[in-house]
Amino acid sequence: MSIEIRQLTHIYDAGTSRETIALDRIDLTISKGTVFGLVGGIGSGKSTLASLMAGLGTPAQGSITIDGEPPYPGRNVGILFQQPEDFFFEKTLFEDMASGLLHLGLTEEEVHKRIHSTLDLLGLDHQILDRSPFHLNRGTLRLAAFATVLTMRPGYLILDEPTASLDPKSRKRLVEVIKRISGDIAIIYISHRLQEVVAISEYLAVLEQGKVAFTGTVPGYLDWATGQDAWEYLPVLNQVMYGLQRMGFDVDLNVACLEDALEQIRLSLERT
Amino acid sequence: MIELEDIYFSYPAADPVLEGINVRVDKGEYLGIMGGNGSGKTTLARLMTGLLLPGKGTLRVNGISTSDRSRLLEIHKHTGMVFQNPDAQAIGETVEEDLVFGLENLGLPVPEIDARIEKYLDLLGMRELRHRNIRTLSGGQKQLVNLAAVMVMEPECIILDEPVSMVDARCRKIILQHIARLNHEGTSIVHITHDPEELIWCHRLIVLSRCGITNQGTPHEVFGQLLDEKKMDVPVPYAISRKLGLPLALTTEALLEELCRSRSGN
Ligand SMILES: Nc1ncnc2c1ncn2[C@@H]1O[C@H](COP(=O)(O)OP(=O)(O)OP(=O)(O)O)[C@@H](O)[C@H]1O
Ligand SMILES: Nc1ncnc2c1ncn2[C@@H]1O[C@H](COP(=O)(O)OP(=O)(O)OP(=O)(O)O)[C@@H](O)[C@H]1O
Ligand SMILES: [Mg+2]
Ligand SMILES: [Mg+2]
Repeated sequence: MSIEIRQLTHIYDAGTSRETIALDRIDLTISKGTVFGLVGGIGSGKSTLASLMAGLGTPAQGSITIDGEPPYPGRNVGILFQQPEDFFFEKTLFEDMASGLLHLGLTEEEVHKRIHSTLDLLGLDHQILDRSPFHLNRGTLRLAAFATVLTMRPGYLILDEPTASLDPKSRKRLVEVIKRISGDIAIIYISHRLQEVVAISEYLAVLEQGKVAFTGTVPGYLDWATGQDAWEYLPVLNQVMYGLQRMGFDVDLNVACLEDALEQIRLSLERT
Repeated sequence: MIELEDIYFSYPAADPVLEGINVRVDKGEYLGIMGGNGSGKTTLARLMTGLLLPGKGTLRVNGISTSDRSRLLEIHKHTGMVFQNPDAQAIGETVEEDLVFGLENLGLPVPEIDARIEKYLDLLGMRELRHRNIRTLSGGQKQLVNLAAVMVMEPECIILDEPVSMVDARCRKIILQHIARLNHEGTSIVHITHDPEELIWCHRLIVLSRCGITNQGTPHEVFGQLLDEKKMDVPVPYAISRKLGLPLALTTEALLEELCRSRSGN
């Protein structure tokens, strides 16, 4: 049970002066039951890969299969777009959330039930259902977009910058929800918030100019980043630990949280 | 530069968003604004640029009331805003057109326009995007364009609504340093964000909630309060330095220096 990406290449405006090779012979396998982090600089190809995995658009070369089938949005895969505004067209949030579900052939009763239980899961006020999505503040809009995808209950869920514009409280909530549902499905987690990616993912891939620069586990990733002295790939907490290591402190690079880091630094200071 | 006096605001047929808000941004000041989702940060930014008008209270930019609609152009000459939704801002089709548009409106001669565009594309490391269609850019690239479009106008005051929320760490550092430099050279800055690590250069920081402004002061003061109240994130280096009883550090570099010093002090 996995997404298999083989020799995937995608080129925009091929043959013109603006030709961009967004993805260059990508090979990745993403298994069910895991959170798979995807990081990389701006324009490195993350959203392009995300939309191809979600079955939106056809790759120039190579293949993507989900459990052996082609990706089919709304059926075997769901995507939260990087910009939540791209989700909404209708006059009210409810109409937007319901339209996809009705399309799946659910009864009205089931549609209501799913929408309300998903709002509860994310701690969203049911009153927002009657509001225009375009009159919501952006954080709430993003949560509403996330709720919309969740109601579809996809087996593979792609999240493109799910926590951009969320406050710390909503971010925590979203991370809890992801942890809770990730046992049964696969989540592809794209973010520039490295601390978050490292905390939530089991496996991780780095894209650099459309190529896979690294793929492996989180500890492997931290070693890879420090191995080439790439501070910009380290979450701030790990930057501190790496900096200390380089100054000769005896501390671990891979710390899980602030308390963990503090403990290590205290011990190391006592030893000197 | 910007004065808000006892500002009230509600959207039509909705509960009030802002009630009795007082904020001042002095000339050359760098003000940071944090606050939960829906606390009214974007609304405040829209009020500051005259896109919305307060229901009650007065709001002046360079002494001009934003309610004086005949002088709105003057206000827009002094202030520029980077929007939270990167698609809400673009005017031109290509990046170049987008940057040219405002500069032509300023009535600048063509060579000057060209020189400014070159300068800011270079500063933000986006020279190769010059002839690209804005709609086809990646999320982070769009944010860069929006920043460039405002900076190129060299306004007296820049209002930033989560300007780097989709930008990678390396790029973010470059942008933040550049914002700090503009501020150093006299530009007033209002910077809204959920990420305290973006606000290491600001002079003053306010935290907004639905009940009004809950915290304000220097970043050191406010981060200290937030850490005690445990209600919001503070920069990691700040949290570590404070919990270890070291001189307060806002950046990784500063923290590492303090740790090095404290070790040799032992
Ligand atoms: N529709 C398009 N037409 C032409 N070029 C495109 C299009 N969409 C993306 N690109 C280009 O392809 C490259 C990869 O873009 P993509 O959106 O996948 O990057 P990303 O990794 O998601 O970046 P970000 O972190 O900024 O969101 C970029 O150079 C981008 O400008
Ligand atoms: N155009 C609008 N019409 C009606 N209500 C609106 C409109 N824009 C915002 N609101 C409401 O006003 C309140 C404040 O919104 P605002 O966008 O200012 O919050 P914010 O602090 O910027 O939030 P975020 O951190 O999510 O960006 C929210 O409850 C929002 O739903
Ligand atoms: Mg993207
Ligand atoms: Mg906002």
